[in-house]
Amino acid sequence: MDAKPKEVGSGSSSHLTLRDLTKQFGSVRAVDKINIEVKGGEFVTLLGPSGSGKTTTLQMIAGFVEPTAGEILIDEQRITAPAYKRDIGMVFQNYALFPHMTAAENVAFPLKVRRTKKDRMRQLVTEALEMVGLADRGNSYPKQLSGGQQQRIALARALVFHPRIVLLDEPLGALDKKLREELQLELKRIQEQLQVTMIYVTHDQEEALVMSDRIAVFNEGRIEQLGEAEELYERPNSLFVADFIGESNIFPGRFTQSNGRYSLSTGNRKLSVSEHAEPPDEGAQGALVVRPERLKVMNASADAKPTPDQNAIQAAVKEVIYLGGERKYILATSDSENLIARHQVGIGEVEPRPGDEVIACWQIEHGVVVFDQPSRGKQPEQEE
Amino acid sequence: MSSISTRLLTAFSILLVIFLIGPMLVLVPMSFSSSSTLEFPPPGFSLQWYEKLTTQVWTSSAITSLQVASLTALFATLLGTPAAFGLVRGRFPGRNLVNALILSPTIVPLVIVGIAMLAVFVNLRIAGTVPGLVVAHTALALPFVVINVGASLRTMDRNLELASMNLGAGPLKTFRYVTLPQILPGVLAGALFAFIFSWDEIVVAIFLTSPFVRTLPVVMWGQVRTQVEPTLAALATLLALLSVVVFLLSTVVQRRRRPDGR
Repeated sequence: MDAKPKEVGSGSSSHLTLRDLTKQFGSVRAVDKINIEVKGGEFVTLLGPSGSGKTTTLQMIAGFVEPTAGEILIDEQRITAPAYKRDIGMVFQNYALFPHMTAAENVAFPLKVRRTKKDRMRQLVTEALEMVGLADRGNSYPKQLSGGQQQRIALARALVFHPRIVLLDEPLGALDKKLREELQLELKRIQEQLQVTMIYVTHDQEEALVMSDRIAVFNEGRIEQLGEAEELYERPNSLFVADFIGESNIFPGRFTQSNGRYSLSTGNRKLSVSEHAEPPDEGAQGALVVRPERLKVMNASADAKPTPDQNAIQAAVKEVIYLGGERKYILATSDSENLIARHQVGIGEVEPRPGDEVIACWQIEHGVVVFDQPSRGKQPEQEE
Repeated sequence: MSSISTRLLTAFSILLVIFLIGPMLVLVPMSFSSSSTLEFPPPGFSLQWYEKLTTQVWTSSAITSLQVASLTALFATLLGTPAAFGLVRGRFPGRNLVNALILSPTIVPLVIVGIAMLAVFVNLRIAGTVPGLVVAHTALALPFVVINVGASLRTMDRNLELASMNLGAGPLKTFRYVTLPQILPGVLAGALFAFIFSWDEIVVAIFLTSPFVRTLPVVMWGQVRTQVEPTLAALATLLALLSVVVFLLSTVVQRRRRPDGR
């Protein structure tokens, strides 16, 4: 596990460009004019619900699915070659190890079909197995290995031939949570060590946040937002992204302006909008998004009052959920909306209890403005 | 409750085995008979009928049968495997029709097939020859290969082929190193069924054999009609023994494949 691989995968850090990539299945547009630049050695995650086009995108890069339109470029070269000439490694969700070959034979397979010399092949296979910490299991058949071990072998097999890019299609989806978290870190370590370009597909937002340099959020065949984890979390540019990544309090409404100050009318209340936000059009439909950890919950009876630079909403505590390091509050407003707040445990303040009347408030600049996207209409599930 | 049903099941199984195998077991003592007719119980012991099996009429027909069955197994496998690929993987109009046509020998009465083939083969001048028999048996044995290979293909994980392509193996290498090893049990089973079918097929063979080219079942049939000698019992005993050996061998081969988890 700690052996430093000298050869495996090193020096392969191609960059990938998708230009207006489109795939039409009958009347369904599974992928709709996708554009991404992936730098050499970057770890980019395609994140989205099932049917959002992320897997189809991956299959087009691998060469398993023919694009309807648009192009795929690796190091500025347009790629149209069949899958077996692309030099792209892929890790499948169900491992796809060859059951009639041992682990070592599986890893040797891409070298064998490339007619690599015997002793070089043995050296590369040994290094790849060491890299994933399974040097002693080379003679085992896949069925004799655990799910996590099989996925490590699949990873070694996808890296051993120095692919230009490695694609991973929900590779940890079939594993239990603990093993998944362990493999996430290991995969990230290997990726950083080898500096290999990786495209990772998942519907698990936590996984995406842990591993990725950048994340592309897919929805209905398009990329809603592409950016670093923090950017997506703190500054989502659409309701979909705000809702899909992490928990959110979403206040939908209409933006209004008076005396150069913007606010959002939602129900019978008016919420102030940060001066730093992009100025909305008068009357535009949209929403304010507030993350649970930005929401402060105070007992209404206490003399704590919201300051002028805060928005405040009266509510009652419905539930308090203890999560170890923090408490999660579920609040009900007079309009019977639910709000979520998270507080660190043990800062010494009086903690509200279920049934308490409270004031939930947040700094105005912590409310993120998103606008309604023109509706594209729902598409049927396509993937998987 | 389980003990009663278990006992009933055991009793039923024993009866079934006696019913299926009993008649064959009667042949074994008769084959060692000193009498020159098939009678049970045999009056004395003798190996003469086994000696008689070494005469030319038996050996030459055994060789013919072996040739026909081997070639049938070979050609049925070579034709049936790609056919199964087309039928399982292909998407083309008339696929169901082609499937029905290939499988039709399993439902068309063999007598009709025999008459029809004789009529055609006479014109082609291959009636009464080994090639003629091979052609006929190959067509009839094709369903065994198509069904067995098709089943293997349907249960095979398609991702294995995608993975192989992705790792740099073109279509031929992918077939050779990944697909074929995966469907090999189905291919071998199909070939074995084709061989066994041809080996004991008699109806079509009666139409397509000549006095010079005769398969074992046809000679046996002729013997039963003319002279009811214990030679037949001796041959039947040997053939049954052969079947048991083949079955045991295939079981051993299956066991040996276990380590890879199949």
